[in-house]
Order: sequence, then structure tokens, then C-alpha cells
Amino acid sequence: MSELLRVEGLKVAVEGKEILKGLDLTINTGETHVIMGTNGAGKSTLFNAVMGNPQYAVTAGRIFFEGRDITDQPVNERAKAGIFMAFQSPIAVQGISVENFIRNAKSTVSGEPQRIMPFRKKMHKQMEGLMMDRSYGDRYVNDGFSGGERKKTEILQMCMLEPKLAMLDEIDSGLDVDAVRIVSEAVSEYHNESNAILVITHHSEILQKLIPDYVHILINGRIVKTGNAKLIQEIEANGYDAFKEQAK
Amino acid sequence: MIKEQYNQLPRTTFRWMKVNHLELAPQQMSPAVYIQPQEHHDGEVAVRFYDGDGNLSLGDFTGANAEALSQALHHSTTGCRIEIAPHAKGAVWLTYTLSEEVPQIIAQLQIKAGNGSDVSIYLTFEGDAEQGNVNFLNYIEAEKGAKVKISKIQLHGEHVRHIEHRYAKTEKQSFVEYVSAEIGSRETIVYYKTDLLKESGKFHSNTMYMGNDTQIFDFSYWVPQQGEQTETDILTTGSLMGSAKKYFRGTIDFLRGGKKAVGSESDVCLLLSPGAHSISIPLLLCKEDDVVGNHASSAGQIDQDKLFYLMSRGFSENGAQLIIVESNIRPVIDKLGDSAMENKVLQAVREKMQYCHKKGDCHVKCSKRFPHID
Amino acid sequence: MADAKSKIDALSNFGNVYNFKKDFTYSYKTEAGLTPEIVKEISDKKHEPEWMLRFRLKSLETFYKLDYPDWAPDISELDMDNIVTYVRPNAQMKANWNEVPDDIKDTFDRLGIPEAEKTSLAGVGAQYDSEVVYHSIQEDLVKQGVIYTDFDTALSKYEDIVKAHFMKLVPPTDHKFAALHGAVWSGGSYVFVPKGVQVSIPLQSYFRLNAPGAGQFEHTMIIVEEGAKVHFIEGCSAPKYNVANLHAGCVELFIGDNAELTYSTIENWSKNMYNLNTKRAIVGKNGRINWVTGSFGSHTSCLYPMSILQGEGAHCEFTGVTFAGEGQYLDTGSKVVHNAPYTTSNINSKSISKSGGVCIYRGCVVVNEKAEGAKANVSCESLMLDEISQSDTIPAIIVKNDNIDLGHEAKIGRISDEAIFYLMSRGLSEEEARAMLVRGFVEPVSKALPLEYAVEMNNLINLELKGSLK
Repeated sequence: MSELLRVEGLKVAVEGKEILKGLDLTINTGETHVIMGTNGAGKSTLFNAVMGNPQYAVTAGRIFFEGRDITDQPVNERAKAGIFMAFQSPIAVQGISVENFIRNAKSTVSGEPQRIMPFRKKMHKQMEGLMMDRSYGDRYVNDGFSGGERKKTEILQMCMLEPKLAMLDEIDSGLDVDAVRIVSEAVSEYHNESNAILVITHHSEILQKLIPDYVHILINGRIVKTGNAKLIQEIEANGYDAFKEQAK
Repeated sequence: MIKEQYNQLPRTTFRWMKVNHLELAPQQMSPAVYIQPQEHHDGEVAVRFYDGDGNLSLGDFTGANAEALSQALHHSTTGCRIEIAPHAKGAVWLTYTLSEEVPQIIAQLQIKAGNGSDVSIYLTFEGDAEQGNVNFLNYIEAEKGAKVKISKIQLHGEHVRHIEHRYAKTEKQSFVEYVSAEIGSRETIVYYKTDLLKESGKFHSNTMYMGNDTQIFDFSYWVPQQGEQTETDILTTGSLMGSAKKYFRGTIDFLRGGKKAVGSESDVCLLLSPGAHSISIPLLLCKEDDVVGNHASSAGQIDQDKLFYLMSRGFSENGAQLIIVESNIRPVIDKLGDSAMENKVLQAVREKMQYCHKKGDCHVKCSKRFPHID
Repeated sequence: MADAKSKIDALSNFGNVYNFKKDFTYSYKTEAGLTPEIVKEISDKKHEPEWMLRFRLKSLETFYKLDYPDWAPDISELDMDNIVTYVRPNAQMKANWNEVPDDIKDTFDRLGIPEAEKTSLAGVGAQYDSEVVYHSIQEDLVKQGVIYTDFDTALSKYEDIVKAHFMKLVPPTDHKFAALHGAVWSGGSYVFVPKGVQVSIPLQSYFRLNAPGAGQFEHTMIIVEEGAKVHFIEGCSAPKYNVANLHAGCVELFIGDNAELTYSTIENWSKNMYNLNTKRAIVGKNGRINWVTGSFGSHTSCLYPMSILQGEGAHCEFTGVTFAGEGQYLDTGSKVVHNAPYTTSNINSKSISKSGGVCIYRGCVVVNEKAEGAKANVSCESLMLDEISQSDTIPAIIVKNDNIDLGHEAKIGRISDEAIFYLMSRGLSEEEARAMLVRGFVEPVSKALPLEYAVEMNNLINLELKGSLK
């Protein structure tokens, strides 16, 4: 087990408004972390800041990946380093098919050009596991896809790009019961000793297969409590009120 | 110097904005030479070539301007008449090429689609000449239930003035569809009027453009909707680099009595350099209450969210921008319906981007093509 | 009336003797009535400074030279003879109560306008209580250093400031009726808000109704200095009847850095009027102009409030509703010019046409080369209440800088049957449902007005609608 992500005293502002007010977090390989919290608390902000979205300004603190300071690195360098974010609302990109898109991304991220046939075979196998029809491979990325289909495409990308740290932003929202199960299984299968998963979710279904090692409660831009899986039951039973008090 | 005026708006507006028409310095006319376009066809179509006046009667159609229309009507050097019998299906490919030997093309193209027929016309315009000129008149008659699709790609060199007047008359339940890729020429002036005067007539138009240097594109669409349940859908999308200029004049015209008509127009422009100008005049005229009309116009830079998404998958900023620029025009290119033409357009688009990068004319810097994105 | 007519005939001859018009093209034969002599008379009677007389005369020249644009509404029925009569300084604006059209009197009744107000609004009566109200407000304002006076007074008391600003935003060369205004302007309001002063109550032009030459060629000038804030309300929902049927006013608004001006107008000129008003604002750094406009009246209108965003970060907000009923041709809109970085504008325009009325939205958005980071948004919605009316949207958008964000959208249609069904299923009659939906449609405007105006505007709409329902 080694350190993968370390966030120290992170303050992040969006459009001039401070959202994260000093956040510390360490994720090691082999771990599964869950972030829960009230709306607007800053969960997505954390993901965007780690991924390097220029619209999220780091006003204080540093971000380390595998010991290297990546706070000022551009987005695509972070992708190459092995960070992946499954977007909450993935955008459509017409003009490039899902297959070509992922194959190209894989070539860039891994540094090795991907040969078409082997890649396609591998991708089709993954798609089968996700109960995605092969025809999606030829369609333009997210173009005309339903919410659930977009989420599956995000997971497909994760499986093919094989990142070290996968950040999943509400990957279960908008999915029906079966789809949630399929996606949880895929993520759980992907997870191993050399990578780590960071999940934002409001529902516990996704965590049936994916047993979290750490659960963090984020309220008002700060982590107010870190615990284990039991924390989730506590939230489901009593909500966030107790923790809101702590946030003050 | 007296300037020529093109594409006068059906309803003019504030004069100080200088948008009521396009003003251009007159272009010197070279002698016209009779040529026959390259042609081949498929299916049950009758294609006949003629020269001189095709005796077209176009009612009060004004064309891009009176002089140019008159020249195309009475001094054309190459005419083509395409007829499709009722319920027949076919396709015709026509290529018009400019060169120093043929610097000017004044042409007519008539299309008569019989009841219930289905015809696709593929037009390619290419080549270049000093003082190059194209003045093209296209007249379409779509009989009841007919389907007429015109796919056009225009890849002239930078010395050409390209003018196209297109007039379509539609009978009940007919469907006229235009797909255009306008990439070349120093000035591209397009004036399309489509009369949806009969019940359930439909008109769709998809145009993509890509401008650089001092290119000017002026697109004018006018669709009077008189028939009940008629439908219009106009989309114009593209990007501008260097000091290119684009004018969009779309007029959706709901006439009284045209109940349950639907009209929609959209003009999207990606601005990739500070010198590019986008001018948009989307008119929505209405004299009938039982209709649904809307229009939208937007201009701006590349969407930062899209850029971030692509970069998060490893694409460099340059590579991501190239994908986004193409993604903006891809839906139109895909509709052309002929893969050779689609490839020609894509190649022209990519070459333009590279050229602009070398010149520093755009924010999109792409250092190499992506051979895997094909 | 016969007396006035013969006066005009005499004037025509006078003009011809001196042949002022031989080099100019003009469209009205009655222009012969408007001569430099009349203009001089106006200026003399007001004891104006020399420069103002020269300005008027130059404007008159321009008036003859300019033509009337062909895109604009037809004004061939405009009776210039009549106008000339009332331009002269000793002309009595007051008509006879008997001559006031019945439907005007009717509307007064239905809107519950008090007796005294009626005569004033009809241009008939003399003194109205508003004088009293007006004076008490004056004391408050004076304490804050705010100046609110009629324009004639401003010209004499604050000559330097007025001279520095007068018709600089709307020069007489701008268009034909700006030139006319420059020649024969009379009356109007002058507001000056000094640095940092936040005026707590809205100032209303209503108070100035009784000034001579009321309403026709008023010149309104508002100067809001750095950091100051004020709300000015022009007009009122009661129909203003005027014997002379042209309103060619001019409004010039100067908004300083970090200052804010809200300019609300309810225009309900009587249905014989031609409303060719020109309104323009120039906004400094981080300044803000809010236009709130309800256009209900007049026979023909040409109204395009214009905002010039000159300072970095300047903002324009425009909320307007135009309602064209039988016999009306209302050509209105909004113009914004972005001349500086990070300027923003938001235009929200709604229009309703019924009973053969014609509504034209004519807009313009220009984002110039220097407007880095500008954002502009336009949203137009048109409601057709029947199949005999007309509603046209004619927007022109020019973008000359790439680092901007511009969106424009427009919609047109009628009240949706589903919406009516839904409201009726909750117990409303069809008539009530339609009225509710139309009020909801114009809500953005009524929301921005002080309560009593909003209430009046809603009453007005109800009255308009009652005539239209099948």
C-alpha cells in the first residue's frame, strides 16, 4: 500500500466564492473512500479541483499525487498521471465515436499507440459486462444518450483507461435498479490493491458491492467527520443535522 | 466606386448598423465559357443539358440581387434540367470546376420532382481563378409528396466570388432538404427562398461554414409559410478565424392562414480569433396565432466545460480544441450523404486549421492531425 | 380652430417668400409651417441663451435635410400643421373637455382616476394637487443635494452642466425627429443626483404634467454621479390625451461610475398619438441602467431605448412589455452597445398583439472590438391572441470580439390550450384563465414597478383584454 492522493489545507473558490475552506485528505492504493454531505458542501468542487478544472481556483493548500505536487499541473497531464473523473453530467461530443474517443485517450494516457482490433475486442468485452450494446461504440460520444447511458459510458472509459485514482461523482444518480447493480459490480471488479476509488453518492446501493474503507462527511467546505461504513447508516437514519452543528 | 448590394433583408432595420444588405466592391467579369459540369447519376432520373436561357419564370423571387439574378436567368452558359417521374427515385452528382481557362461559371439548374418521387442532388464546387466568379441559379419544383435533397460542398480557392440563388416551390406534403458545407471562396453569397405555400410542406436546411483570413459568408434564408402544418428548421453553424465575417439572415415568415405551422432557426458561431465578426439577423415574422416559432442565435468561444472534459481524458488543449471545432460542424457534414464529399470537407477543414495555426490566426493551435480520429 | 388654421396659412406664405427649402428634399408639404421664425419665437419667449437659439436653428436645418427611414412605421397621416400650432409658446395646450374623446373619459372612470387628475391628464384643466405633493418632496430632495426641476429652469440655473450634456447622447443628426426635437423642444425634467446619494423614493415625471407644452417635446435629462442611485418613473397608466398628436420627446441619461439608475415608463398615450420618443443612456464603469417599460398606448410608436455601455463592467437590464390592440402599430425594442470590457446586458422583452394590432420588436446588440469578456443575453417572447394580429421580431446582432458570450432567443405563439385547460380544471372560467396567463406573461414588468403602478398596469391589461375575448 502506498500513498496515492494527498490534499493539504485545500481552499478552492468558484467565481470568486470560496467553497472549500481548508480540506485535508489522504488516499492510499487499495482503498475506497466515500464522500457524503449536504448539497453545495463542496463535494464536486473537490473532484474538479483534483482533476484540475481551471474554473476552480485553488486559493490555498496543495495537491499531491504519488508524492508529486500537481497543484499547478494542467488537466491532461493529470489524466496521464492516472487520475480519472467520472462526470456527473457528461457532455456530448459529436464527431468522434465512443470507440475512437476512448482508443485515442488510451493511447495518450498510456503513452502507447493502441492497435485497433485488439482494442476493439477489449472494449466490446467491457461493454458486455456493462450490458451496453456494441452499437454504442460507433455512436458519437454521449450524443443522444440517456442519463443512464452516459453514466455507463463514463464507467466504460474508466475500465479502459485504467486510472490509478477513479473519482466517481454520483455515478448512481439517474440509474434504475439494474443499472446501479451493474455499475457497482463493474467498479468493484475494477478496484484492486494498486488503485483507489473515491465516490460521491447520496444512496448506499452502489456501496453494496464496494465496501468503503473511509467515509468522510463534507459540510460547508470542510470535512467534519471521518469514519467507516457505519457512518453511512447513521446518516441514513438521522441525516446531517448532528454534523451541521459540528461544522459551525 | 459604386458598391454592389446583396442579400437585402425582407424587412430592413436601423440603417446605422449597416446590416440591411451586404456591400461589396464590384468584381471584374471574365468572359464566360460554355462548359458542361462533370455529371453522373443513378436511378430513374432524366438529366438534360442546355445552354442559354432556360426560360425560368420565378415570380417575384429577387435572388441575391437583381443584376446577378438577371445574369443567371438570361446569360447562363450552362444549364441542366433534372426531372424525376412520379414515384421514381434517383440521385445526380454534378461537379462545377473553375480554372484559369474557365474563370467564370454562370449556370442554371432546374429540378422537377414529380409526385411522391425521391431525388438527391450532390453538388460540388471547386477550383480557383484570378477574378473567379460563380453565379448559380437553382430552381426546384417539388410536387405533392416529393422529397428533394440537395447536398452541396463549396471548396473554391481564395479568389472566387461565389453567388448562389436558390428558389424552391413546394406542393402539399413535399419535403425539401438542403445540406451545405461552405468552406472556400473569398465571398460566399447564398440566397435561398423556399415557399411553403401548401399544406404540410417541409423545409430543412443545415449549413456549416469555416472562415479564415478575410473570407465573407452571407447566408440568407426566407421561408414564407402559408400552408397549414408546414415546418421549417434552419441550422447554420461554423467557426471563424482570422478576420473572417459571417452574416446570417434567416426569415421565418408565418403568413395568415398557415395554421399549426412550426418554424425554427438557429445560428451558432464559434469565434476563434479577436478579428472575426459574426452578424446575425434572425427574423421571425408572424401574422397567424396558431403557430409555434422560435429562433436562437449564439456566438462565443469554445465551451470551457467541453474543453475540460476532453482534457480530463488526456487530450492536449490543442487537440481538444480541434475536436470541439469539428464536433460543432460534424452533424452537418454527416448529413451530406456521400462519403467522398464528407471526406473532402473534413480534409479541407483540417487543412484550414493547420494553415491558420501556422499563421497564428486562431486560438486553436494544432500541431498534427490525429490519424486515429477518422 | 379656424383661427389657428389661418395663422398657419399665413406662416406658409412667410416661409415661401424666403425660400428656405429650395435645396432640400422633404416629405411633408406642411413643413412650410415650421420656420426659423417660429423657432426664434420659442427661444425668445423662454429667454434662452444665444447658444441654445443657434442650436435650435441648426437642428431645424437638419430636420429638413434628413429623410424618414423606410423601415420605420408609416407616419403619413401625421398632421404637422396641428403640431406647429402647439409648438408656439403662447399656444394653449388645454383643449375643451367636450372635445376629449369618449373612450378616454371612459378609461378614466374605469381606472378610478379622481376628477382633478382627469382634467389634468386630458390636458384640459390647470392646477392639480400634484403641485402640493411635488413641493413636499422637493424639500427632502434638496436636503440630499438632489436637484429635480423642470428643464427650462435647469437651462437657466445650471446652464453649464446642461450645455455640456444637451443632446450629446442624442444629437439632432441622429434622425429626423431628433432634429425636430432639437428645434422645438419645450419643457421636461432635469434630475441631478450628486456623488454617493441614494435617493430613496422614486421620482415621478407625473408631477410635471402641467408645464407648458406638456408632454409633446419634453426633454428629460438625468445625471447620476459616481456611486449614486435613483429611480425615475415617467408617465402613468392613465391615457394621456393630447390635442396635438405627436410626441417627439428625448431622454438622455448619464450614469457615472458605480452609479445606478432605474428608468421606468408606462406609456399609454391616447390612440391618436404618434410616439416617436428617443431614449438613450450612457453607463460608466460598473454602473447600471435598468429600463422597465410598459408600452400600451399611441397609434404608432417608434421606441428603442438605447444603452451605451462605455465603462468597464457596465450593465444594462431591460424588461419591457408591449401590448398592441386594434389600430395600433407599436414598433419598439431595445438597443445595446458594448464598448468596454466585461460589460453585460440582459434584455427581456414581451409583446402581445390582439384585434389586428401590430407589435414589432426591433432590437440591436453590438459587441465592439474593445468589449473583451462581454456577456449579452436577449430573450423575446411574443403572444398572439388571435389570428388577425401581427407580431414581428427583427433583431440584429453584431459581434466583433471573440472573447464574449452571446445568446439570443425568441419565441412566438399563442396561449397554450393545455395551460387554459389546466387553469379551468382548477375552477377558473376561460376568460379568467386567459387573463391570468396574460398577467403572468407580463409579470417581469409589473414586478419591477412600484406597487401602485403595477396595480394600474394590471387594470389596464384587464381592460384591454376584455375587449378581445371571443
